[in-house]
Amino acid sequence: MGSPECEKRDTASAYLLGSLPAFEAYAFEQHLAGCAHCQRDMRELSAAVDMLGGAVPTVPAPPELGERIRGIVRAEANLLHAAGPEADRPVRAPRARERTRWRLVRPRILVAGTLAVGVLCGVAIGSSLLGGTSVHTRAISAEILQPGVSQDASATLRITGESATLSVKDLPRPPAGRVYEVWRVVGANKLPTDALFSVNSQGDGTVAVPGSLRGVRQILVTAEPQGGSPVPTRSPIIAASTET
Amino acid sequence: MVQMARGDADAFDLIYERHADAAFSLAYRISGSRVAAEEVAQDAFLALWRNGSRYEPSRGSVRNWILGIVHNRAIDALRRAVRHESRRAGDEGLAERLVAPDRTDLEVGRREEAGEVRGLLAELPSDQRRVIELAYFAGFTHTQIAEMLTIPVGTVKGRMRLGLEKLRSRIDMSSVMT
Repeated sequence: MGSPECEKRDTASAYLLGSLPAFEAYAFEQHLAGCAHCQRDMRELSAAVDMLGGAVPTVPAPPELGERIRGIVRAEANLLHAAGPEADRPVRAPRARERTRWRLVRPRILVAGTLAVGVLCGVAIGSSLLGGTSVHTRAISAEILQPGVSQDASATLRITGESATLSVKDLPRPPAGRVYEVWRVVGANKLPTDALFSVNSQGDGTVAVPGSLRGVRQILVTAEPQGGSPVPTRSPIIAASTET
Repeated sequence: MVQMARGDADAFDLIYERHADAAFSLAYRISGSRVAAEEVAQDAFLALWRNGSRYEPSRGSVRNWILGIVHNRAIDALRRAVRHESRRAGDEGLAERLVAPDRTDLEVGRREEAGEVRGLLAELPSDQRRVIELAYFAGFTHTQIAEMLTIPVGTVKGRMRLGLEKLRSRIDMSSVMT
């Protein structure tokens, strides 16, 4: 073992252990690409370094960590499945005429917009044809709670049976390092959901509210750290009452 | 992994179940804080979920790949924080201070394996073990280690290599004997 033929043979160990500063690591990678001796050393010694990772005393991962990670993964999986092959393509902003059409109510986890002044504007009752069955959809204009960003921002909660979707328009992207999180308010409790979303470049989008609305009196949106939060860390920017 | 890379959340669940404790343990060992360890582990598993298609079986096991992600992110976070004091979590008694999960045969096997590797590490000459631990678990660069131990940088790298070579040969020997 070892490559006495190469003067950088000791550097391979330091590289594998992650102890090279970035610029030295980069330089070594350039060297490695053309050095068979160091490549062989890397292959042989990496087994030892890999074992180090499993050598620490076992500390059980907290159950809530698993719940949080799985919640995010499920939400993203649902988004992928809902969006299908178009999932990674940029979303075109819907034209005003199109915004009233049913297809925007489909449960896509994709939201956009700009924070702005807004007030609860009222309730519109509509109906949609779902699978040949007439289902009433209530469209509730949500309250935008952080004024001054955009006069055009708005959010609408559409309730069909016990499920709902929240659509926003002209909402800004969440602050750096944050993501929008949907909350269900039951009694005095704000319950987190796995509905995490950001905004597209057009500022429009729709997110499905997970779970049943039974007992839920309000839907809130806050800007939380990436991955979501089990409790709100900031004041809501959107509030929609389900009881109106 | 293939199913997970196609967006199968159930496949991710399976991988998480198998490797969550090892990932969290390593993150905790490096960061010394449960909060930081949770952030690192979450970050690593979400990276796994979102970039699983990049995994190449020819380059090692899924477990080692995940632990590699955890290690890189934990060290990055550590260096950003630049808090090398009062973050160390002592190995001894760490597991006992926390509630242990049901010890399945698999988990018991992994703990035994981890104990064996710690044993092999403990058998290294102390000067070699120390530079490896300072680099891998504490995130110090070879320059920092050299300053800390007041030895030349070349000596630090040489000890790292000798230590890893011995560790590798003892792992091989251990595999042959079992």
